[in-house]
Amino acid sequence: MKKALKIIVKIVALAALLVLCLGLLQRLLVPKYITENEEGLLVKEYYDYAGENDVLFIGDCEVYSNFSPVKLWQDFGITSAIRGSPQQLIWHSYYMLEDTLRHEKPKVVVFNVLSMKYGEPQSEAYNRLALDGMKWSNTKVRAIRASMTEEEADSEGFTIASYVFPLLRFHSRWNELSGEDFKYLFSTRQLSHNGYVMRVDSKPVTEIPRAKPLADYSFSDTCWNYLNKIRELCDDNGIQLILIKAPTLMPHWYDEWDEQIVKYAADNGLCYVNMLKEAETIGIDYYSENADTFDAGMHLNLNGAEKLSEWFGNYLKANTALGDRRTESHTCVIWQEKEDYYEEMKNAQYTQLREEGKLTGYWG
Amino acid sequence: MSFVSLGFLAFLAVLMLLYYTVPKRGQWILLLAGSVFFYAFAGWSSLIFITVTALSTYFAGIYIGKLASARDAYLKGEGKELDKEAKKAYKAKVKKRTYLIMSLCLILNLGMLAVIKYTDFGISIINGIFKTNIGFLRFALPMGISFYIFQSMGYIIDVYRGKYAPEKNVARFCLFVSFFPQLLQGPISRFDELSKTLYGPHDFDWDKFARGAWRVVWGFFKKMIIADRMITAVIELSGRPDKYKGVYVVALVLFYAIELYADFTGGIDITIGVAEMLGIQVAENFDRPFFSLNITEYWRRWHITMGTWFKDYIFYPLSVSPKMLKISKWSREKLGNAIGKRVPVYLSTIIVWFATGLWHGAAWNFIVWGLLNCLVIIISQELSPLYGKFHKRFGFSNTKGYNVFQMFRTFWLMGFIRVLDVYRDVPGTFKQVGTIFTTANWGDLFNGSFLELGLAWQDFIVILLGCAVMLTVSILQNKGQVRDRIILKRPVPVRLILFAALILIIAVFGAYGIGYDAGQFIYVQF
Amino acid sequence: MKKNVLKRNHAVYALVMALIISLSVMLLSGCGGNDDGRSDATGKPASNATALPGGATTAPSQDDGYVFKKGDVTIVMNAKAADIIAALGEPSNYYESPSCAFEGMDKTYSYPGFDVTTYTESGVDYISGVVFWDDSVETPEGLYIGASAADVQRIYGADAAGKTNVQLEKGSSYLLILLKDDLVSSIQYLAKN
Repeated sequence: MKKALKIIVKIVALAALLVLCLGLLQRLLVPKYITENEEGLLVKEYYDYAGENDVLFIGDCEVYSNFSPVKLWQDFGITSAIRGSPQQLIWHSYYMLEDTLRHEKPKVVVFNVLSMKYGEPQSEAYNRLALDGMKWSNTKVRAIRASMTEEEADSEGFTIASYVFPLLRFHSRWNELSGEDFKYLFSTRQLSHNGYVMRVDSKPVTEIPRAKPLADYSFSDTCWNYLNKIRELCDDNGIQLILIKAPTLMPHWYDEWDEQIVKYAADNGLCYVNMLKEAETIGIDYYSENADTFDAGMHLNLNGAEKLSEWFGNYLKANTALGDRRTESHTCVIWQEKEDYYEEMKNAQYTQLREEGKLTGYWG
Repeated sequence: MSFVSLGFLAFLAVLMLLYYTVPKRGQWILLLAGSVFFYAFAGWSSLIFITVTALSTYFAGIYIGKLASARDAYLKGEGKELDKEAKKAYKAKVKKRTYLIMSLCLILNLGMLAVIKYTDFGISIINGIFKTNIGFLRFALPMGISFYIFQSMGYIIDVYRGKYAPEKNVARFCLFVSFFPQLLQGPISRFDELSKTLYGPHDFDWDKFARGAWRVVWGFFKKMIIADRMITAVIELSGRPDKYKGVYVVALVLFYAIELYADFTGGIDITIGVAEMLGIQVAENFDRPFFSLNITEYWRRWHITMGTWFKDYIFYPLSVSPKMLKISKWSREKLGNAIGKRVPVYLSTIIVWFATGLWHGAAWNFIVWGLLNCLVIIISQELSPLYGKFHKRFGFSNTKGYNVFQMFRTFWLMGFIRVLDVYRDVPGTFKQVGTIFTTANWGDLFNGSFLELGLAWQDFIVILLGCAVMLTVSILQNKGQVRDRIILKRPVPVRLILFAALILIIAVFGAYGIGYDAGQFIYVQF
Repeated sequence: MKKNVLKRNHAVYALVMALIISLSVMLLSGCGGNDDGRSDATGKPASNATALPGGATTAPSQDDGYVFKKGDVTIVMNAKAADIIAALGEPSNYYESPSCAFEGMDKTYSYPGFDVTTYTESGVDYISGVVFWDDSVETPEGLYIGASAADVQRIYGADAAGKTNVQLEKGSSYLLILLKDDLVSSIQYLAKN
């Protein structure tokens, strides 16, 4: 008996030692997303501002770069959040919505339809950006399984395990460790403003490449399937779904694609607005020296995002039953803090732009 | 199920837990169930092949055993009065029948192996000679088939020879054939040795368990840190022979030697370690072969169980077979004693090496590889009197320096022969090796070209450090097992920390996951 | 006296060994010769059981797949872009679109009549496609925008009549031909992933 106890103590001691070290190593080796691929912070940050949002934007960079929840709050008293990550595919978005509903129930969901063009998983790296930050639940497991690239699916068990223990995925980063990995071992920085990623610099559109004709413009069954699932999930929860196409010029949005979405919206009684067609009304400036885009038409900068948000706030007022919440004192307190951080980052970026001529990071 | 997978680790954890909690009589049954489960993972269809081998060998063994005991009983009882001649005739009669049974068993199993493994090779030869265009059958090779068939055939030959009595319990025999740690890449065990510990009962013994665990982790270290990292460069170098000539061929020889060694011995360490954790002793398969002074010694120390298998079951029977004796007699008469006595030995050697090559793979490159080994062995044997004289004359043959030179020579000689494995093209291999003398690109060693093989400088450093550890351990092993001499003598906390550190090193520096090929043990293919 | 015998024996051994070696070499080269003739055939069963997918990562050689030729410049899919772009001269337009988050830049170089696109991998640009815009350019085989479905059939042996698109595959490339009313409306080269 005493011998057995001794053995158990040895094994427990070894296990405890291993868990502790592996935990530390994992923290060290997992990317911190502070100076590189900052968008990796987005999905995780959502849980800090979950809870009281009336509007939820889901989609890819076309939502997180183009809509400013702070602006929507300031001008319309609409509380909103964005759940977007780089190249977020439609199944990511669907599961992100499912995950959101575990934490709050928005009144309106706005889905950006660009990802309808991707019928298959594109890249393991983007999967990690979309999924690593998601809290564990059955939803996350299903999201991982739906998102796997061929290579990941080949060893499905390992892939899922590597989300549980990211060390399995990021262990080979030992040769890229930098000061940032040590500095942010136990802390992080806040990147977004309720999911919005701010950039104040400008780079006008000079040239847009000709869009080549496609052999087949129809969206894949997988995408339609997930779009239906998003619609049904909204229906089941009494949420109004609005489809949008953000007004960015690249990647090209074909008329043939647009027609399919128009028809889908009409068939299902949904609002759909292609903001590319509204760009002039919105007042987006693509071409001047101080254009509203920071990368020649792919994403809007802060000016562009605020213009678009102002326009879209009016659209929401006209097409939904959302009220003005600026009368709620506790909500005002919460949003005051967000406004302050928004101003702080804006000023820091403008300062850096003025002093150094370019932005080197989101925090100025 | 590959050894390097989370599935295998989980399987092992569950198995170990059950193994030491079930009643001891049931331990081996659990192992059999575990082995079937392990095998079923590779696909139910391949279970059929191993079942055919296990059952056919079992029944053949039982039958031979029955005949033998009936014979003994008869000779002691009713036949006691027979005269010497009659006894001899009776024995011969029985022997003929047991021989027939053994032969049928061999033909069935080796035939199965031949059909599955060598049909396409045969077709390609026929297509080549007769310019026909017969389609390939492309059988999927059942996991470990070359290993378990050889192990079973060793058993049936031993039973035929009366070396030991056949196993009576069919389930116990099935465990001998299918014992999971050695399914993937051997060793090729002998029944009389393995059965001593295979069936238990085994009490949990912390020291044995810890020794086994150390060896398993050491195997993972070699496999994941060195071999799986190195393989990127090996694939790149061997896959583009047009691009990589000269110095790169030398690099490939070196890299492949290290990669294969780390991979194969790592896998065997895991096999033996797992068995040790279960209280079972599996035969050693390597004895630090790169320290060999010559190729004959090398083959005594590399893939030992395969070498002894070929020696015991092919070379010796062949050498003393009536046909060979006839050849021997003939050659002595015609060629004189000096040369004549060599003919049968060398003939047997050539046949064994041809078979060894063929066993490794159904392709010319493996056959040529086997024959080149054979050639070097024969040449060195012939030159050994010359060497002896040379050494006597100059007297430095026993110095350390000279021994190191011999090791170096053996290492590179074997390395150059071994690249036939990776180029998989006989004339291509010779051409490539030839470029070492015709392509003057040694400058590429220093201009960063080697960093374009898929390995960054950090990878090379990890490999280098890994090899340094491997070499140090090998040198320490000169005086016995490192675990017994060094590790297990430390106080428990130190051992725990060391063990944890080794696991952490593997977790971080191992080459696994996205971006790494989930490399299989190379010997799994044989 | 005894020494002499030994010596003579050695001479005999040496002779025999020389014979064996030369025979072996001949035998081996014989094997090689056989092998050469059907390296493809023998390669297959071996690779069936291989753990080393030798050549799996081999880059496309210059002559496999559909290529587009402009003057002296041959544009091969998945080939390194730098030399090709330099040889094509100054583009009339140039556009680059960075990927979100990760490094990587898709570039489009426009020339009279056609565009060349590239993708980035480990900091190196590779050709991802060529798109024709008008009939001022044609494929080396002679197909151009405005040609008929019958021309597609004649040149590429693909039945295009009544179809809206035909996709041909060769080496590491696709050739995509779009048709409207049995006339070629677009020709695109695409690199295989």
